[in-house]
Amino acid sequence: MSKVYDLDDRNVFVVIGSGAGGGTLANELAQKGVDVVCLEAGSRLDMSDIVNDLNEMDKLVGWHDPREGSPTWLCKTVGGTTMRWSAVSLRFKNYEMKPLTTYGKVEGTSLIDWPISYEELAPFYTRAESKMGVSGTGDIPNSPETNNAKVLRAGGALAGYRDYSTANIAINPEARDGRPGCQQLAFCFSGCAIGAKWSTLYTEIPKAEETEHFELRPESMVVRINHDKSGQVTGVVYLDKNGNRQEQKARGVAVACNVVETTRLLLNSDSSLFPKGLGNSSDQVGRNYMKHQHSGVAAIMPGDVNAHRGARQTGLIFDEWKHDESRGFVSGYTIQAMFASPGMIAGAIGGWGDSFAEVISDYTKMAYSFASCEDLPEPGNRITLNDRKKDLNGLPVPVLAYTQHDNSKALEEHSIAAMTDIYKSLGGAKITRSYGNISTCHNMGTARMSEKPEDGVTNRWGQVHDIPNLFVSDGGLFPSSGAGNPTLTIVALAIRQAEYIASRMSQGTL
Amino acid sequence: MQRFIELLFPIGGVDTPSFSTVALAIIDNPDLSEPINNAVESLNSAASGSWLSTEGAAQTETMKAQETQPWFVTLFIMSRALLFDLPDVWSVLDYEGPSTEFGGYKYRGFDDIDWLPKVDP
Repeated sequence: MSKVYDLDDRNVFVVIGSGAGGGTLANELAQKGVDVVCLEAGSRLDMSDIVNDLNEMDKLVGWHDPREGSPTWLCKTVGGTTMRWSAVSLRFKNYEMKPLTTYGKVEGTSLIDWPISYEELAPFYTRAESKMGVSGTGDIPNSPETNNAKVLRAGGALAGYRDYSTANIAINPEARDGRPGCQQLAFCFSGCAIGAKWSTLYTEIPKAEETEHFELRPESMVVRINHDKSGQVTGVVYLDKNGNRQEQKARGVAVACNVVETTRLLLNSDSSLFPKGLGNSSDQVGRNYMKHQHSGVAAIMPGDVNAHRGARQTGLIFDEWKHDESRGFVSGYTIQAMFASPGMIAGAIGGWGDSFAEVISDYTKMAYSFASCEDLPEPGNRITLNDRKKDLNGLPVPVLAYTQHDNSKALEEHSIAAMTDIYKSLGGAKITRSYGNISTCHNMGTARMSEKPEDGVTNRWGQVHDIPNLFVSDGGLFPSSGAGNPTLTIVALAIRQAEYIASRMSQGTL
Repeated sequence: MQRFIELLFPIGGVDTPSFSTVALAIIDNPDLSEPINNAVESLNSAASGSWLSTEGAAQTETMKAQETQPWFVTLFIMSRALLFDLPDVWSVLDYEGPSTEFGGYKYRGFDDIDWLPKVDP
C-alpha cells in the first residue's frame, strides 16, 4: 500500500518524473529505505487502458503542451517515455565516453569527455540489464527474429556486414520477473498491452510502492524548485490535479523530466541567487542539446516481408558502430530494423503523389531500417524559454533550437548508402531514402556532467555543481550521445546515483 | 479538399468514401479553417481561376509548386494521419491492424519469411 507523505515533511527526497530515470531512481532509493515522493505531470494508466492504436494512445500518454522549434515525441504519463519506447538497450562504447580525447576538437562542437569511465559504469549497466530484462544479457536469451530483422541480417551479410544481433532489447523473450514473454503484438510504440516490454509504469513504480517508503503523485506538474539563502533546495511547487498550487518540502530533489521539461524547470526556478536559472552559473543549462540522426531507408523486396508483424525493433547491425575517420567523419552508427503501422511508415518515408503511392502500395513487401548516428554537442543547439508566450499552466513555452552538424550529415550519407546496399543486395527496389530525420525521442545533453563546473551543470554523480542537494536524473546528464539508444544508460546512471544519494544520506551529508 | 487528398495519396484500391471521410474530418476541424482557406485561395490563384476545373496533371503540378507552404504541410500531415488510420485503407494495404485480441503475431507469421537466401551465420 502506497504511503502518503505530509507536504511539510522535510525528510522526503522528491523525484520529479517517473520515467526511465525518475522511476528507477525513486524505486532504488525506496528499496534502500529512503522516503521518496515522486511527482509526475501525467496520469497513471491501468494496463487495460493500453490499446493497439498509436493515435489513441498518443492522446493518453503524449506530451502535447506547446513547444517551439525542433519537434519532440515524448510522453506525459506515469512511466514517461518508457511507455512508448522501442526497448533497444545498448551500452555506450568506451570511446564514446571519451569523445574529446578520441575525436579531438571538432569545429563547432562543445565536446568534453564524461567525468566517469566506462569501467565505472559497467557494473551498473549489468544491474540495469538485469532489472530491465535485456535480451542476450546474463542468462536471458536473445530476442526472437522478426521477418524485418531476417531481411536485415541476410542483406547485411551479402553487403559485407557480419556484426548482427537480436539481443539488447528490453522485452521479455520469455516470462520473467512477473511479466509475460513477448507475443509479438507489434504495437510497442503504443505501450505494451501485456507488459512484456519494460516500462517503469508496471515495474519500478509498483515495486517502489511495496516498500512503503514511496508515494507517487500523478497529475502533479512541478513549476518551480525553491531554495534557501544558502542555495540548498528546500522543496518544490507543483500544480495538483485540480490546478491548485502545492509545495512539497524536501531534503533533496532529483529532476528527471526528460530534457525539455528539466531545462524549463531549472531555468524557470531562477532567483536573485541564481539569476540565470537554478544550477546555471555555467550558462550550460539547456545547451549542448543532442538528438540522434535517424536516417532511414525503405525498400520493396522481391517477396512478402509483412514487417508489421512482431516487435518493432529487433535486428541490429553494429559493423559501422566504431570510430574510423577513413570514412570521412568521427564516431559511427548502429543500423536497426524497424517497422510500424501504415501511418507511421508513411511518415517515415515521406513524400506524396504517384511515387509515394507506388511505394506504400507494396506495404507487405516493404522492409525498413534506420541508422542511429552519434550527434555531437554544439553550444548553440539549446533549449531556452519564450518569456512572451505562456502555456495553460502559465509557464513560458520552451524553444528548441537545433541544427544538424556537418559530421551528422556525413554520417547520414554513409548510413543511407549502407542501408541501400543491404536492401539492394537482396533485390530490393523502389528505394526510399529519408534525409534530415532527426530523432524526436532521443533527447540528451542539456544538464551535462562535467569535471569542471564551467563546462556543464552536474558532476560525476549527476549532482548539480552549484547545489549539493539537487540532482538531474535523465538523458540531460549525457556529455555525449554515443550512437546507441539512451535508455539503458539513463537507468544505469540512476541506479548508481541512488547508491550515492543513499550513502550521503546515511553519512548525514545530504 | 477531397480532390486534394486524392492527389496526395493516389493509392490504387482506396475508394472515394475513404477520401471523403478524411476530407470531412478536416473540414469539420475548426483548428484547420485557416489552412483550408489558404489552400483554396492559393490553389485557385495559382490556377488563375478554379483549381478544380483544371486537368489532373495540372492539378498535381499546382500542388507541387505549393508543397512547402505552411498550409500545405499542415493539411498534408493531417490528411496522412487520418487516411492511414482507416480500416478500409488497411485492407487495401493488407495491414492486419490490432493484434492483442488475436494473441499477437507470435503464432501468426511474425517470422515466416520464406524467400531469403541462406547466408552463413
